Amino acid sequence: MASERIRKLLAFMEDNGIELFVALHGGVHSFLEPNPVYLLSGAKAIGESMVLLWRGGGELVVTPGWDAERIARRTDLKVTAANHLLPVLQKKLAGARLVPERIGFAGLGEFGREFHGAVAAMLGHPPRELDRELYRVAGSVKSPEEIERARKAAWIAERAYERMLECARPGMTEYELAAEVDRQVKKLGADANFQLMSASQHNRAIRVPGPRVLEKGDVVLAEISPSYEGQFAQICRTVVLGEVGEAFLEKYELQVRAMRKGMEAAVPGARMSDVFRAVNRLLEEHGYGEYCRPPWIRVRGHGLGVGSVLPGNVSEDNDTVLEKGMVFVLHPNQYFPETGYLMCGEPVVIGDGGAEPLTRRKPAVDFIPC
Amino acid sequence: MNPVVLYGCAAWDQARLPRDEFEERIRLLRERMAAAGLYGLILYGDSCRYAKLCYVTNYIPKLGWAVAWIPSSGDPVLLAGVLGTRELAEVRMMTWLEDVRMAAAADLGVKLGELAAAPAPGESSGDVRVSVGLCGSESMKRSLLESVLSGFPGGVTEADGLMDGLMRRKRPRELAVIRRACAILSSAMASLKGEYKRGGGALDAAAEAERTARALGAHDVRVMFSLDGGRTMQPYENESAASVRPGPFAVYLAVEYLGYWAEGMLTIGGENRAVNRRAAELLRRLSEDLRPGTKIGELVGEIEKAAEPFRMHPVLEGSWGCGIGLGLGETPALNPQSGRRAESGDIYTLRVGLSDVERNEHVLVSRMIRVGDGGNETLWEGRP
Repeated sequence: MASERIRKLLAFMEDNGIELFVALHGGVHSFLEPNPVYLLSGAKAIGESMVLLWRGGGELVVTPGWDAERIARRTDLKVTAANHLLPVLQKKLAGARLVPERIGFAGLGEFGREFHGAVAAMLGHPPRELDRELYRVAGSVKSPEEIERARKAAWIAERAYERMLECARPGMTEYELAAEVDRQVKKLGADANFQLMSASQHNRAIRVPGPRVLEKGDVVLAEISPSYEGQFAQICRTVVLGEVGEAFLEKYELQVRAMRKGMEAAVPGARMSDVFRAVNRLLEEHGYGEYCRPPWIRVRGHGLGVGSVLPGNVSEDNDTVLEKGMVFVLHPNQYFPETGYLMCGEPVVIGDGGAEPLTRRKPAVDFIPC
Repeated sequence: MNPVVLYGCAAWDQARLPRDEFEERIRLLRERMAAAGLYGLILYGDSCRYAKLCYVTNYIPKLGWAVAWIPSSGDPVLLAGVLGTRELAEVRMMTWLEDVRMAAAADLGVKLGELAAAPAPGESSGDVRVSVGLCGSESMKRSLLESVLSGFPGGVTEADGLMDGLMRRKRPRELAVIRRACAILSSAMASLKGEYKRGGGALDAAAEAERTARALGAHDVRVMFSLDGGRTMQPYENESAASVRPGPFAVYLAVEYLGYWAEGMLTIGGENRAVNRRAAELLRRLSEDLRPGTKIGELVGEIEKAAEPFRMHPVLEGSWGCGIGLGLGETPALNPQSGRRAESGDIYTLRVGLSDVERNEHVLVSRMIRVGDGGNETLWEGRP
């Protein structure tokens, strides 16, 4: 896919008079932030990295230099080892002898003023920043390979959740439970993970795990987000330690129905805001409109980096048009005054017929007898 | 590889780091601010570079950034760049500061400017103000820095040096937390060795080490391991490392507990090789000879000579260690160019990595020490 993206980017460069495209990344891999270097190279470096793409070919510059051998196994681009990006960039720009308007940049905003100033000084001109254009042209949809990775990441997340069901019990801390789940994620081959896990008899939201000791009657919330070879997936789950009444099950079922509404709305050509409204409409009809807005709820899902976070948030203000091959998590997590915050969420890929879950299991609340 | 987002145990541990600890740190900081003629100080931190922010607030941003406003008198304010107001409850769980507010990059400068313009307790609005300091600007995204600067048309003073000296010598409670981080590191390494000796592959051993660290309360864990006998190191990539049992097995593990780091490198196997014995000897020399007053550059130069004919391992990137605490790479760095001296109370991670290129043999080992007038204390040492 990296080569397909490069082909698209080269066509864009041709159309817009760009001779050199410089994609930069600072080495902090966030699952909510795009990584233009990964997008074009398929590789995640330990430190700062940069793709230099000319009309005639590309090159990936990797720091620290000792990581270059590993990275070379993960990309088709020529890999150059370096300890700092700027001297390499300076040399390349000096050799290229291009007017600044013919050089495009992406990822420069992640760097500090000093780096930006050094680039501007090299060019003798403010850099032409083309992040939006890069993601629009080359980063809007996932490749079949990336969708398979997302499927694998979702598989890992489901296995990790099974591990959670095996070990969650009163008396252990939130962070001990989180450690068991994370171990399963890593053992199964994830290269990274993002995880929230917390519990209470009445949750207001989910948070990072803390030292709270789990008790009988707790509602344990989990958001498990493994990355497999650079592609993230995310699942959201609710587990009860003990038993709950009918009202709890009714609210959870309502949440599951809201998710189905969202999935039905997520068809190619629809807007992300349509998906958001479809989820909220059902909940509003049942009298929870007040709890479908900040501060209770901000979004109903989001794109999954590292390559690209398109199509963005499942939110009212996102008018991104859905296309086949887009991947995001749809999570109509909801606060109900009767039960507290409940979670259900699945990663989906947009296919010809609409949103297809990447997970196997149907959404359901789980119970651990105690 | 820097982690995706921090997701380990997070809370303000009031037993280990009570409010009075931070009040004292602020008092000492204000003394330095007064000496430097600063009316207020802006402290920036993000999930990757949080040391100075955390030192004063105990807060480590999970995903994004935060800025603390420290006036010369009156209450400090924490401005957190969180996604929504709902996240503020989580921020408040991790800081002792009572005034916590949400901020966006676009209006950060305006908000800071307003805080700086507000009269301090006992001050009239007509009093003359001197300058405002800024710590952490080198780590800030350009747009964020420009937003901050827009709130101060008169400019700000770069003030990173103000905190470096303050943070170099660890306070007793900091030392206690670092010792706890080292204990977690020891347990994690023991888990790794146990898994490996039971026949587990490199991936299983690394995952077991990370599980142990997180189950003991680590907030962040960094793992790298070698699949080729220590020649190269790699982070988690995929399941292909599950069945690999490299010999010798070199690992790097760093754990962060309540903001403070402990790190270790270990090579399991090959203990009788010449390159391993030399590494052990150099590590012992570094540990013993890095005394109060030692010229760091001179000592490291001697160590480099003593390493010959072996080559320095590339993962060391030219440095034999550095200070460690709220950052994994605090000053001073242990390299031959250093013009600094070791001081009593310094805490270092000492890293020795050697390669016998002819034999394709490699070793990575490390130790953490606290430099003391009466001799150095070993805080962590890896034993294969």
